[in-house]
Amino acid sequence: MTATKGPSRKTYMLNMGPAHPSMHGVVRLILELQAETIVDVDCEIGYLHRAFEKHAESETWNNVVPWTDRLNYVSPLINNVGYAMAVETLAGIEVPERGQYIRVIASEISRATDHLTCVGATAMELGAFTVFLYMIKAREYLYQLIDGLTGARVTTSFTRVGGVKGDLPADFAEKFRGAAKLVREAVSESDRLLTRNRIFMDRTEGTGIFSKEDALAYGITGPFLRSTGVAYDLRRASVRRLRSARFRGSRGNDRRQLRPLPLPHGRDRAKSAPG
Amino acid sequence: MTENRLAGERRDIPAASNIESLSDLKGQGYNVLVDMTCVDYLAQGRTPRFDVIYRLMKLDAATGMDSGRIEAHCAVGPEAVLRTAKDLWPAADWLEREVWDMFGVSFVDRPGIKRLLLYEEFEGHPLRKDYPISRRQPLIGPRSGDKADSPSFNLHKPSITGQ
Repeated sequence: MTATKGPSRKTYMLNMGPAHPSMHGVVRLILELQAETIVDVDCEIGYLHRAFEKHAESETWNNVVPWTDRLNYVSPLINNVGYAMAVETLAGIEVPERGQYIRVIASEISRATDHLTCVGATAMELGAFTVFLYMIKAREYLYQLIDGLTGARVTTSFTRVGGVKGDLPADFAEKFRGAAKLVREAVSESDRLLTRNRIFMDRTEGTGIFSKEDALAYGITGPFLRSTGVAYDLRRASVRRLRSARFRGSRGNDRRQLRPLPLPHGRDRAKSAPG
Repeated sequence: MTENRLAGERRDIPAASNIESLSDLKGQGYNVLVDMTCVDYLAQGRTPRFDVIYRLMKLDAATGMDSGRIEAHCAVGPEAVLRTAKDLWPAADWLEREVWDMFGVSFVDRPGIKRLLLYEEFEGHPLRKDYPISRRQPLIGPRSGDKADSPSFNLHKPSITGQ
């Protein structure tokens, strides 16, 4: 009689979702597990499909903008801008320069709120609840700013075809500088808590490794693509004036690279994390 | 900016040899499939009715700069079947499923195409122009075939638009 050695190779199926307390959003993952390792996953999506494109077919051009708020609801201003730009391209409409700058500023603020939420949630999933709260606090400063700019924190509906809803409020520059400083402080604190934290490094370094070739083959863009080592930034690519801009990016190809970086600013570079 | 740098130059490729044309374009350096979508020209009365659009981008991985985008338009009719671009770009898998789901343009040479966003029992392809936004779907019960046992499942509410 021979004793079998080694771990069992049997796998079992586990259904995760569509509603699950440990993940954000609704998606159904049908997992194939071998002990605690996921060896395969079938991902079923569509639970958040709300037929926006179909509804947009019966709306006026500017009435579609509120639908776009709700696409990526963590960075609604970017969606607003994206939609408006698409219509303007089709119609050959040029946006006044001030409007373009306002859109860029609004998109950057929105992008920051998105990253704060994402990184905060990541930290929370790994157990660092404090970092999550710091990030949400930072995000709150930006939401107050967006509230002053658009009239709403999240459902901004800020752009119109050909421009934006309204000019910047009179005290915007001052408020923005105040908010940006507070955000950088919060991010800096979170950086000190996480980046060289042994537990965080063990949980993230070397996990979720994706190669450059795979990332390009799957059409991945954004921070995910940059974390694999391809320094592609859509902002640089799409706006001629920004072609030579250098955005702080990350290197390496693992999940740890998707950690917070302070907003780009000369003065803080000395205080901020390398890379 | 009057020029949208993301718009891309338009090419028309024949449906029967879509893979050859796309392969050609990939060989010319268009290494990233950015998006794939479809447009229904029913209102314009055009035949063939659909345009399946592949949006490609030339991205230099070393510098991170893109040097050009292309939109490859492939005119097909409603019953047409296109060959899959999955082997050229794995990203095409879900993009083709979405085109099938929303427009009913099918793709072959791939494991059976399934809907991506909607459920299999859904009838019709909603982004087609002849699918009205207010159309209702048949009520479906549990997959086991049992009838839904709550009376609230069987209420048919009138549509807001009255259609």
